[in-house]
Amino acid sequence: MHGLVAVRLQFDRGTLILDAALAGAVFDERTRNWRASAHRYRTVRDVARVDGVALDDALVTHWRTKLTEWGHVALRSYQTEALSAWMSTMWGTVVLPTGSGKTHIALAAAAALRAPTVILCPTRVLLAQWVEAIRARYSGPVGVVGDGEHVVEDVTVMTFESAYRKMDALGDRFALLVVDEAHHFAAGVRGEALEACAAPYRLGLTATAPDVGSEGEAALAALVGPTVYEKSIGDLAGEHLAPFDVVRLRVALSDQERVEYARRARPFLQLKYELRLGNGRLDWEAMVREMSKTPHGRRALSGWHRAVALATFPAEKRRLAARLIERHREDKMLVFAALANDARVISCDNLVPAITADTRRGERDEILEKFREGKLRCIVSARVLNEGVDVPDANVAVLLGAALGVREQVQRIGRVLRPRPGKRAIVYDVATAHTIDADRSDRKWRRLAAQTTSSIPA
Amino acid sequence: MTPAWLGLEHDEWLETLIESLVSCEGLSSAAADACVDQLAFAARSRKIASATVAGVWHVLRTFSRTEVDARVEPKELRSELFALAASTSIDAALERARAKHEVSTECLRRWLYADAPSARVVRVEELPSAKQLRDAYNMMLAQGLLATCKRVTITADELRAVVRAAKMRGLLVTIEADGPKVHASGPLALFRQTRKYAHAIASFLPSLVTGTRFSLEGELEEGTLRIDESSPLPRSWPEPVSADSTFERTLSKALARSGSGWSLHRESIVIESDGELFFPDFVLERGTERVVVEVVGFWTPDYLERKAAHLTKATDAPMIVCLDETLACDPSRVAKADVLRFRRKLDPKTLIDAAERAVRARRGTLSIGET
Repeated sequence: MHGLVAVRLQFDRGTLILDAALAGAVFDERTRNWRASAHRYRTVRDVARVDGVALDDALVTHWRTKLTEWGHVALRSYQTEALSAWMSTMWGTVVLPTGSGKTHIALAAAAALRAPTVILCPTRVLLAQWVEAIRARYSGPVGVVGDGEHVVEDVTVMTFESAYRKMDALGDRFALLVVDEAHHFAAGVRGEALEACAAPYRLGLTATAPDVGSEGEAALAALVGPTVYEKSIGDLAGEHLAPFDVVRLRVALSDQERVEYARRARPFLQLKYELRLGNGRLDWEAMVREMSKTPHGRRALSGWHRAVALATFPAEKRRLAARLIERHREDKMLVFAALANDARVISCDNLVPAITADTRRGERDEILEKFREGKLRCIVSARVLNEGVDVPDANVAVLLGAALGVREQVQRIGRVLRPRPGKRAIVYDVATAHTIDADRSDRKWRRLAAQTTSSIPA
Repeated sequence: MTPAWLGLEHDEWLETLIESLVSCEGLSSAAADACVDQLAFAARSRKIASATVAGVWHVLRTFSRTEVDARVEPKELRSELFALAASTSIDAALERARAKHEVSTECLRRWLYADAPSARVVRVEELPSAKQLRDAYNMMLAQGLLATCKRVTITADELRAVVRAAKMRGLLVTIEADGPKVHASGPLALFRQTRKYAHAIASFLPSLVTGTRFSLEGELEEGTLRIDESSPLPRSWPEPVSADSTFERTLSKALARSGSGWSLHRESIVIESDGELFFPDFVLERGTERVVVEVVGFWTPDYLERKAAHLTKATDAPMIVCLDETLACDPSRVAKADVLRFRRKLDPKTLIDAAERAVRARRGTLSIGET
């Protein structure tokens, strides 16, 4: 017990400093006081409350501002359900498909709390989209940190990158932290951005929650909170999202490609077999670590990567992509390749624009605008259009290859599900038979089918 | 742990790599970088690790540049061809563009993405010597390893630049007067390995290597990194242009232009208080008059109070504390502190005014200034 003297709690460069020991804080020899990571603020506060310790809390005074400038945020039924689920703890992640209006839920949460709010998003494009969405419902000034700007207001939007660099100076300003595309932090990406923020209320938004029981799930739960509400594409398709059909196509490697694939893949597969004989429970990461220890293992890995690249985009896929683009000339179509280089090849073959990480913002906006106007009817992309770019309505998606698993698949399909009266979308999935590409495709669709309705064939 | 330095014995091999870069002239970036595999294979006989080959090649490539090899601006060509193809057909679009630009359709297709980083063509102009390449690689290696350290301890004859770099980048710095020895780490280092302060920690090195005696111990996730004056590092290395040195240059020029008689001196005094050392950022001097100027990046009201207490106790020169509000926690909270506030850029004229007021004010107290 700390008696009647209150423990002083302050924010210091992304951490909390306390002048007495309290559960969760560590003594810091450098500054001769107790320190905890700022994201543990809520725990520190709760522990103090349970232990009957009075806190002289320098942070909380800042959050008493009641923002009265919020207007009404209209929600659909499932969005209201999601908000209610989150409000019970005000600490958790909402998982909803791309295009289902996750933004609205966050805005409604901020409007309900009326407390200083910071919203984190991965890209500059999303930053602009958030600012626009907030301005439509909030009449106060909106702060922007990122994309060359640094204006902090009671409602502020930041890019992940800016948050990583600056949250240690701003982490005590906000009571509510909204993390858009929160799955990035499950993958261990720069978690410091969230650790340095003291906000006691946290809302994560994502279309793709990390696997149950995975390290990513634990990481996200610690930084943003566990999944509190989840709906899949199948749950919403037909009513809130456009209905869609999936057409799964198989292509074959040419004789020459087959020989090349086998030659590249064999050393890896052999080594993998030997390693698994020694330890049947070796996971992928551990196996790669093990292989990386020897020159022979590193060569095998390098060969494997080339084999995968070959299987992901063989000549037959290239030809099929051209046929599909031609067949759907009158539709609005998005073609997704695994790599930027593959996207450029398809672009050159079919004279349709590619948007890759190398495409500058001006050119990208120009392409998207022409696509919106119908002057261009097809865009090829690798990862850029997975998330973070407001892609105009399209009704055909071609998935030529993916590197990021089910998560990427869900995001890409979501791109053609924006609802419109009478719309029915088509999703083509093209995989190379008898290679890792087909195996991966099968695994993804099996997992998707398990969480959606029968419109997706397993 | 000891870094895998390159030494004199590697110079012959480095020469072969430099020749390889010369042979990449005119190739696409992707093709140039693809030759690393062959180089790594060849280096096996010398027992040089593939990671070292890739690292040296990366450094070597910084001595080359790339350019777009196309007669028509690729972005313009894309816009033109995609619009044509959307309204006609692929063949008709290519035919019209071919006639307009008077080139083959193969050429048109090649030019379409000639500005992609992998397609840009390598140009080699000034080549490094083997020694230059070795120095650059060893420096990169040391900085790369330093960037993975959780905390560092540094002893050196000259610590001011190190302290400055650490402070400006938000590290927690303690300086033992005995040694003297600098301990630097990020606030989060207490809880876990973090790369957030990697650049700050790695940025110490160029200022250290110029000294005749230095030692650096970095705490790695596993083991300790040791670098000292016997390490094969170049003894002079350009320091990265940091925001504070740009600021210093601008301020120096403005002071000279102002005709006020004030001149700028970087850390010309050292202040010792309670067994700790302080290096103020700079000192404004005019004849016998001196004003200590401290630019504070990251701060809290407590930090300011402590700092002011230490400094006013240890020096009789008046002092101006300049606060960058854009990096601060909350400007409203320092209403009680007497400081000169600025947003991003400190206006030299405001600083001169503050200095004038400071020398007029009672010596040893903090000057008050407002922008």
